[in-house]
Amino acid sequence: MRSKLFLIFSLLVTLPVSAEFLQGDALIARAKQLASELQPNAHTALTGLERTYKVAVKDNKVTVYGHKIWFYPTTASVQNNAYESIYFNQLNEQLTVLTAASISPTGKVNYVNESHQKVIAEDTYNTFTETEKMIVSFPAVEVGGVTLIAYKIEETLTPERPFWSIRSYPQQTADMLNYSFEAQWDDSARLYFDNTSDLVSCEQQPARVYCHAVNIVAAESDSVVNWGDQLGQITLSTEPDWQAVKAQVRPGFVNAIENNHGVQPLVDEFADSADGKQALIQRIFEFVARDIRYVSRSEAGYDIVPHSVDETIDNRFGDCKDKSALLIAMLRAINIDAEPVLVATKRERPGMAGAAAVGLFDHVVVCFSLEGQQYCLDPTDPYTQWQSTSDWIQGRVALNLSNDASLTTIPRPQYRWQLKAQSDITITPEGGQQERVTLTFLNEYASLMRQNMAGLSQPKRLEYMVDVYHEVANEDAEPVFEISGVDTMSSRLTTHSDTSYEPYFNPQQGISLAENDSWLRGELSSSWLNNEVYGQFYPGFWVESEYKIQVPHEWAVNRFPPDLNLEHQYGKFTRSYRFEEGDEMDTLYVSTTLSMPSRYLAVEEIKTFNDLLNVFYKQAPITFGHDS
Amino acid sequence: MTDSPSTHQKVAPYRAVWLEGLLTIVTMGCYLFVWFALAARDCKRITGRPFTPILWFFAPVVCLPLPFASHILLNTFSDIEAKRQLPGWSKMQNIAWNGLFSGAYIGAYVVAEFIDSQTLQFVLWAVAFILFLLLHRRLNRIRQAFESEPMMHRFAGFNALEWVVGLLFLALWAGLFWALGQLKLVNVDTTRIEPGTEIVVPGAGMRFTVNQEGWENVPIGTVTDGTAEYELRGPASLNNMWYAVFTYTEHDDFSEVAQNRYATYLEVLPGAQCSASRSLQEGTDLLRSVVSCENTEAGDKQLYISHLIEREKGLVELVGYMWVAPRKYTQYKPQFIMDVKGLIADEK
Repeated sequence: MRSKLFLIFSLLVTLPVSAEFLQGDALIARAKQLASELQPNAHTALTGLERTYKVAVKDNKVTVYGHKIWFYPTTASVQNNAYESIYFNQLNEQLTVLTAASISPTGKVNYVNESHQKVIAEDTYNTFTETEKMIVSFPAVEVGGVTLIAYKIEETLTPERPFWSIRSYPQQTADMLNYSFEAQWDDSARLYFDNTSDLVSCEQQPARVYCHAVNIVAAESDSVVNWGDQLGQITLSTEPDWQAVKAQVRPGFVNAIENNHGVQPLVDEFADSADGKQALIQRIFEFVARDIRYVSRSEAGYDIVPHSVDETIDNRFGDCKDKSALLIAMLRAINIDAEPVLVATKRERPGMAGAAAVGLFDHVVVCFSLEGQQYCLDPTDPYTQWQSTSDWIQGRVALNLSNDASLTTIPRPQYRWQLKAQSDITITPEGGQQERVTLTFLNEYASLMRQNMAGLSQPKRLEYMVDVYHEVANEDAEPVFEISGVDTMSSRLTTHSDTSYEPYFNPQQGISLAENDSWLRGELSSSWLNNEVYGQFYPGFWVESEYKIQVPHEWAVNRFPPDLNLEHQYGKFTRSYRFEEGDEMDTLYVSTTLSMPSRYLAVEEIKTFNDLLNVFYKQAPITFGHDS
Repeated sequence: MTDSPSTHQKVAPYRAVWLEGLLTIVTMGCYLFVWFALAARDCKRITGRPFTPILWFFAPVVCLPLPFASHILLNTFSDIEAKRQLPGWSKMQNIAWNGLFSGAYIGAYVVAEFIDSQTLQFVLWAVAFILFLLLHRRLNRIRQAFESEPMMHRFAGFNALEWVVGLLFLALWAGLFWALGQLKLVNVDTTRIEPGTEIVVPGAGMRFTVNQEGWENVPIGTVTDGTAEYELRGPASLNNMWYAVFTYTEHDDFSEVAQNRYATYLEVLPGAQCSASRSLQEGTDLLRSVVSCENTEAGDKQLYISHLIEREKGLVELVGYMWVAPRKYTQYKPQFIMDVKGLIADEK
């Protein structure tokens, strides 16, 4: 009894402040009070007056209470922000809106009714989360008014699903005057806490944590931002470490893969037609990626557990878990030690992942080593050849379920976008031009172009490439295209285009020509980075451009493109030429290689990087002519 | 064959050695060609041998036949001296004279062409000149033994034509010295540059090192049209060789300037072979361009080279030009180019 009294006393002394979750009239009164305390004209954009989370875990039941109060000082803030989004998992969680209303500047309260609420699915293709989003549209919001909402999300921990986590970002893209986060738990579920935000101060007790902050300035926005990697966050999770996360997820895969009677016949069938192990891997991957169609299947009991391999084979459909389990089973059948790897598709920095939690991940892929090379295959990607890595998982935070390693990232290639452009140009004595261009998109670039064209009819594919030509090379030209490699999963996709140009200059007035090297320039112009606040990852590109330009011998071309050897820490641009004289036509061969390796660029490096792109862009034209 | 003296034609009269030397000097050695022709004419008149005087005019001009011509002339002199019992030179003296004279005469040309030593060249010319005076003294002795009559009447030792030519040459000399004097007045700022000197042009924000001998900085406008920031002239013994520094503003486009150089060099050097390259300055995204064009014109080699460097604001360029004989081109070109490529830009 004395110890209990001491504990209560200690709590009162050490944690005099607590997050006070409010609802109903108390919340409305609080909102009015906070609004009345605002300095006139002190806020010119949407401002959070208060954001509070209170987590309570008792008898295996987790309840998250939250309330938010927003102030709208401008018309733009009303137009753009007078709604609230609440994310929850419909399979396991129950969301209840307790109070939601707007308060006019004169103090009139307008309550939200059911017609102002709607729930929409937040899922995206490839991922296995079943996240829903409730959108609450506040009625009668006026400039100078406030909105408020109080809600609770409940979940019961079960032996089948004993894990839970929450992640809160104290700093958001609007100023927040008051922020608090409080969690208490009993012995039914020990919670582990982590805070990576230096904007809040936290105090932690054995079964309680309390964080708060005032006057949090809005995070600056930028062109490309992974907020999860940039903003500090508070994480609370039932898992003590990443090994525990693996222990939660791995058994489901083990069970699914064990039921694999249908695998061997398929593998045997593929082995008969495949020439060598790599061809067999290709055939297996094509089967799983293309013949097993993607269907989201994260119903109850299967949000992190794949269906059995045999079931997936029978259904010929499955989600990323199901397809990964099947791919693993088939690869293991040919003695490849493939493993499931969880992926957080919106995260690139393991150091910013916070406390270990199953909820960090939304995707699973298959990784293995072959002849010293690491491969990660995404069986939901029907466009990427198995030796390449799907671009949306490259560099993403990952957790291999079958080893002792902690968080890692999916390997990135040195160059994500690789292109070979071969241009065969004949310039006529009248100043016109016949051009044949062969473009070979490699690896991930082939995958991207395949993805863009796969769903199109053949005429539409040709139209698509003409549009690309217009955008990159010449908007007035009428190229005739041939395309190959769209309907396979090879590492190459090749296009040929034939284009005729009417005379566009008068040779009598002198020979001074510049060929833009458009496909190389096109890659350069699409590489500009726009971030001004945050660093950015650059995926890298490599272009090899070969020109064969035939000109009438009588033009006596004597000025040739300068040799380029532009070498920089961010990339290299080289060019050389060869000139051969003929009886009627002379031929200028120009070889250019541009390589910009992938790398992370700190924000202060981005200007230098863009400047270099600009230098390369300006040097790209191939100039030649006759001077005397 | 025996000589049959035919004295019906008179030889040239005696002329003092110093007058002969003076005429040779005034005419910058050109009188030597006439001297050989007259000597051959007189030998023909004395001995009746089939000399063709006009061909002897070319013996010292063409240079290489000189030893053979001198040999014939000296032998003829000896024969005449023997017949008229005049004091003369022995065979060994003839050989020694011929060897020394021809060697010094041809050697002076070789030095001028290949060795580029003005001192050695002067010494050789001096030796040849003194030997020539000795031979003229010998010819005077021979001519005095025969009846002589000048082709034209002489006044104070020289005939009218010689006076006219001599005075013309004197006027030429005077003009030349005047021009040199003027040039010297203009070039008061001219400074010789020791090999290995780093040239710093603060106004242009650049520096480079001159590693060859004979360079001097010259006033702006000496080797260019005056648009350069700094000019250097190469060794005076060469036809033409210079460096010039140009600067451009930030509004001038690097590629355009580089390409214009390329086009211009092709225009001024017909049939030129060119090379052009561009690279990044180490650790920066600033460009550098090297354009060089060379051709052969009238047997001589010409080279233009431009080293253009981009700076944060504006451009700076070092242009080098040389127009020299092929052998000197081979000798000077490598270091000439290396010096241009050694251009370093400092921020102004």
